[in-house]
Amino acid sequence: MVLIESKRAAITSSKIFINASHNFYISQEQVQTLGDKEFLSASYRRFFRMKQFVSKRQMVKDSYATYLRYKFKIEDYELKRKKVLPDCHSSATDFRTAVRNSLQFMIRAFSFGDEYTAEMVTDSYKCKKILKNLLTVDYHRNRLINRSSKMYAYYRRDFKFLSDDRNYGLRQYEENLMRLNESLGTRL
Amino acid sequence: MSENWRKLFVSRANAGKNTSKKTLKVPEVRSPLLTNFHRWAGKERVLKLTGKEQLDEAFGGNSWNLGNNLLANMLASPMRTDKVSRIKFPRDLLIQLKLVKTGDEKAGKLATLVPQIDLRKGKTSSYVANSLKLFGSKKVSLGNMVPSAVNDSNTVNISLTDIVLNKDLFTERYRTDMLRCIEDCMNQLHIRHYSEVPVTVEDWDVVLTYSRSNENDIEVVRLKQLPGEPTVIILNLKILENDSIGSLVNGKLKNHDTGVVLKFLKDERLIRLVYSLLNFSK
Repeated sequence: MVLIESKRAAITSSKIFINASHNFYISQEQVQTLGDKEFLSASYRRFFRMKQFVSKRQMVKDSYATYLRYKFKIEDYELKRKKVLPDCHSSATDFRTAVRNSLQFMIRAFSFGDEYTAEMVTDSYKCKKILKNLLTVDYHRNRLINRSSKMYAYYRRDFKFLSDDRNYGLRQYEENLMRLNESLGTRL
Repeated sequence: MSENWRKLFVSRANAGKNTSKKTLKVPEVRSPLLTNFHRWAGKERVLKLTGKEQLDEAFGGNSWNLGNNLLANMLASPMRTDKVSRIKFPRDLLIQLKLVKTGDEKAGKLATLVPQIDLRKGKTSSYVANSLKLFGSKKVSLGNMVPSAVNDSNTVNISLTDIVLNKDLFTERYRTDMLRCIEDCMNQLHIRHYSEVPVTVEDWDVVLTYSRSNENDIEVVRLKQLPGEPTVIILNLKILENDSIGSLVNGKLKNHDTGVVLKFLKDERLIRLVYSLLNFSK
C-alpha cells in the first residue's frame, strides 16, 4: 500500500520505490554515438546514482563508492584478466558493451517492476547477493591494504597476489568472478 | 417582547438563493517535507520500472537465467570467514570443517577435525580456502582452523591436545573421497541416461570433458557452431588423472559431440563436486 506518492517516488510501509528515468540507464544509441570522454562520464554518473540502492548503511555505500572510483580511475582490467586467466584469448565483449552490461547488472540487482517474470526476480536476487558479496570482499581487502603502504600496489596495481602462493582464497574468488564476467559480458 | 425574540434566531430568508456553496479544497501540497519524502523516509530503496518499454530500455527486457548459472550461484552464496586469511568469502568457494567424535582407535583424543564434502548444518563448523597447496604448505597449522565454537561451551572444555589434527585427512584422503563421490554420482547418471532423449545445449550448461590435448581445466566458452550460440562452462577432468572417470566421461556418459552435457538444476551435486575438486587440485 502506497503511503505517500510524489513525482519522484512512491513510499510504502517498508520500501521507497524511486521512479526510473533516463538518468538511470544508458541506451544502445548512447553507447554507439557518444564520444569516449562523454561515454565514460555518463556511465560513471549512472553507476554513482545506483549508490542509494546499495544499502541503507553509510559504510556499505562508502565501500561501493570506493569500489567504483577504483574501477573507473585506477584498475587495469586487461592486466588483471591476463593474470587471472592466463590461457584465455582476448575478451569477447568490447569495452563499451561491457560497461553497459555491468550497468544492466546493477539495474537488475536493484530494480523491481510489475511485469517481472519469475526468472527476472531470481536474477535480481542473485545479482544483488553477488554485488553485496563483492563489496564485502572488497572491504576486507581494503582493510589489508590500509595496514601498510606497499599493499596498495600488491593488491590493486600489479595484482601480485594473483601469482604468489599466499592468498588462495582471494585468488579463487577473483578467478570465479572473472569467469562470471566472461559468461555475462560484464566487467565487475 | 413577543415579537423581538424571533430576531434572536439566525435568519434563513436567503437560504434558497445561495445554492452554490463554496466547496472546501485542500491546497496542493508544496511542502518539501512531503514532496521529497523519499529523502528522509529511511527505508530500503528500490528502482521502480514501469511498463514493458522501460524494462527493454533498462536491461533489454530479457532474463539472464542466473538461477541455472553455476558461477553466479557459487558467488551468491552466504559469506563465511576463511580461517586462514581472515577474509570473508562466499561459502561455496570454501571447504567446511567439522569436529567429529573420535572412536576408540585414538586413545586420549576426543574429536577429529574433518573436512566435509557436502555442506552440513550445525553451528560448530569453520571454513578454509579450497586448495590442496594450502594444506601442503608448512606455514599453515590445522590448530588455527578448529571451529571457535568449541571454546564457547561452559560445561565441556576441549583443548587442542584433545583434537586429532591429521593433514592427510585434508590432502590425500579428501581427494580420494571426492573422487569416489564423483564416480558414484556418475554411475547414477549413467543409469538415468538410458531413458533420455538427445540433449540440446543451452546457456550456462556444464560440459564435462576428459581431453589431454586441452590445457585448460575450467573454461567459459561460447559455442558458435551450435544453434543459438550458447555460452557453456567446460570442465576438463584430465587434471584428476583418474582413468575410470576418464573412460566414463569419454565413453558411456557422452551424450553430445562436445562431451557430457549437464544441466545445473538436474545434476547440481555432481557439478558442484567436480568444480570444487578442480579448484582444489589446481
